[in-house]
Amino acid sequence: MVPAQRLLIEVHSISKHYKRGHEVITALSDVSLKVYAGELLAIVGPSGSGKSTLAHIIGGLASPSTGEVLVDSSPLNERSDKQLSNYRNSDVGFVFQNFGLIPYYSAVENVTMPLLLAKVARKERRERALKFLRLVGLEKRADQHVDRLSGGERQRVAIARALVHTPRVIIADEPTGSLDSKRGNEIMDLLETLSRKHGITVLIVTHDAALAARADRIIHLRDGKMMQKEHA
Amino acid sequence: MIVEYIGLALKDIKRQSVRSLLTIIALLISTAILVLMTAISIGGQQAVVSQFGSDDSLTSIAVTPNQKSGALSPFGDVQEVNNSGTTRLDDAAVARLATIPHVALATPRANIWEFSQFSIESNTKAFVAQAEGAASDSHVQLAAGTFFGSNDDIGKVVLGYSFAKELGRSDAPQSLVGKNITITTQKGYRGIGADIPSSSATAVQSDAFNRSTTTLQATIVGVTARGPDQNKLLVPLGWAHQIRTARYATPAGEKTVDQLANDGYTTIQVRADTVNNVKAVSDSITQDGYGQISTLSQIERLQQFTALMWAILGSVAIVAVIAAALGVINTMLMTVSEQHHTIGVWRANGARKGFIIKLFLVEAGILGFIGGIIGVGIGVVASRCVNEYAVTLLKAQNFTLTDIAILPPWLLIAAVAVTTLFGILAGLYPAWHAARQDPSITLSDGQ
Repeated sequence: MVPAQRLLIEVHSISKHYKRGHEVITALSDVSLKVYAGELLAIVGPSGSGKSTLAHIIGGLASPSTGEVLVDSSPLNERSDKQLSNYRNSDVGFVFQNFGLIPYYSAVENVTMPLLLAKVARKERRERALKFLRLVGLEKRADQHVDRLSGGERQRVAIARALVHTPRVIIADEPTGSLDSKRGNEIMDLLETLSRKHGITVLIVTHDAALAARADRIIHLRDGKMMQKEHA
Repeated sequence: MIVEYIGLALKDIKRQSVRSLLTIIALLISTAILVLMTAISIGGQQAVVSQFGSDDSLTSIAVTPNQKSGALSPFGDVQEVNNSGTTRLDDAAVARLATIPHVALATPRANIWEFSQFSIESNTKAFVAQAEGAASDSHVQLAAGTFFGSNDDIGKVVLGYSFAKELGRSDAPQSLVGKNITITTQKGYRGIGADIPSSSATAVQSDAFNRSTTTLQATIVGVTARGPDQNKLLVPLGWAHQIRTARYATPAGEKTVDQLANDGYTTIQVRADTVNNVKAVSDSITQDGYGQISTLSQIERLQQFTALMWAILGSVAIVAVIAAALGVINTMLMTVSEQHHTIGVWRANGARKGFIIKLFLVEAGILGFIGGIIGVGIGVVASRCVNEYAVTLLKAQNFTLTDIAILPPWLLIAAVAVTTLFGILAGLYPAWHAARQDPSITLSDGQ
């Protein structure tokens, strides 16, 4: 499906190098791509291909060594820590393979984290968190500590948290990696629904070709390089 | 927002409850030591102030029989008088000292060793009698009543302020004036009022007398103000002579030995006309071959003593606080290390570096605050125990000093504030270390 929506994110020739001791490791090399509002985009590649690094750079968690990322035509790498934090807090929702939850917080406390940072009032925080926990079918387990939930339930809590502040893009880094195929499919169904029905941009990082096949577009990475070039 | 930080910090403290508890214990021990050491230092300073409470006492010089005899107790009293090879302190010495330039007053004092203890009318409490004979012109500062009209006022006493305080009459010392006191002498007392055995007494009768005490009655005519005489029971010098005169029955009649006349006075209290002349008068007294201890020199020595006490106690407290702070740093660094992934999660959700720093500083501050509050409580209990023990100990040595550890309210507040602040300062490096972690790496580590 060729996206006809508005351009949301542009990645221009980014590279990312890490130093490990005296060795310089190239995680990404000359990667360019475009992300459109409302599309479901899969970034696929084997382990170590740089797909998580790319997701983190798009999400404002890391900065590229060279190149730039534009969000609404505004470069991310020119933003201060405060501006990048605001970007992550208002525009991006992350879902991680290991759920990225705080185990000694309850489900609702985990979901309210972005709202607390956005200084939303306590009562409203809880109401909004419960609404999204209801959406993922976990309202009744809202006050359970997340370390008492199953893997599938934890990932749904993570998705509720990624949605609670109504971000424009959800970045899901191996969201089914810790789940069995049944729970994995449920999570993928949920992400697909968010994109198709609610118009949220979903960027899925996966090495599972079957999951990737459900996306609007697939970007293949290998050894930090894109397998096919997109034209900016 | 601070409420949110406190809530989040408390969750983390609860998560690592054993480690947090151990850190709090280290903090509370250091706070308790800090409170106790400071309370003792304050108590020591106030003891000096109370011993030399009036400006008049700054001009006082206690003259002793020779230059080697000026040994002082930490509370300002002459502790020991060595009479071998001394210049005897008699009325001639008093007259001679009175002629030294800038001496406004020279008046004798005589320790009365013959008294054991005394009690005051309608009160069962017995006090150790540290009695002194004082001349009627002594110019002792009084809180109530009058001083002796003459040296021959037999059966009159002036009570030290500390006894009034012990009796709960420090606010109304006047109420003690006119009260009778009962003085019990040492065994075998032979002075005025003693029923000495006759010359024909048997050995058994003499032995029984030597094992018996005598009771003397007196009336309180005045109560001293706080100052050098506050721990003493003062009696008129003439009566002191009679008390210290041992009587023996012989077939030829009663024989007397005036021990005070033989030994001389214990001290002669000299008062310089101004504080500026104390040094000159002290030097003149020394040149005349007497020992002397001025109140000023006592204050200097006691201030050196309290300064040394401050330094020692302060060092102990500082070492304890540093050890506790290292404990906080260690706990917080371990927390940061363990919370590696959590920090990344907060950052991914939009937390700024400042948020992470505040989160860890609040946690360190809470550890400090809890340790401070409990530590102050333990410090208060420990101070009371020290007071109980010290007062009992000092009473056994004839001192009526009250609290040795004093806890002003500001100390309690300051101790909690200092411990909390110390906790926060100890949390600075771990908090900064937490905030500068790369969220991308911390999140990848957890994958």
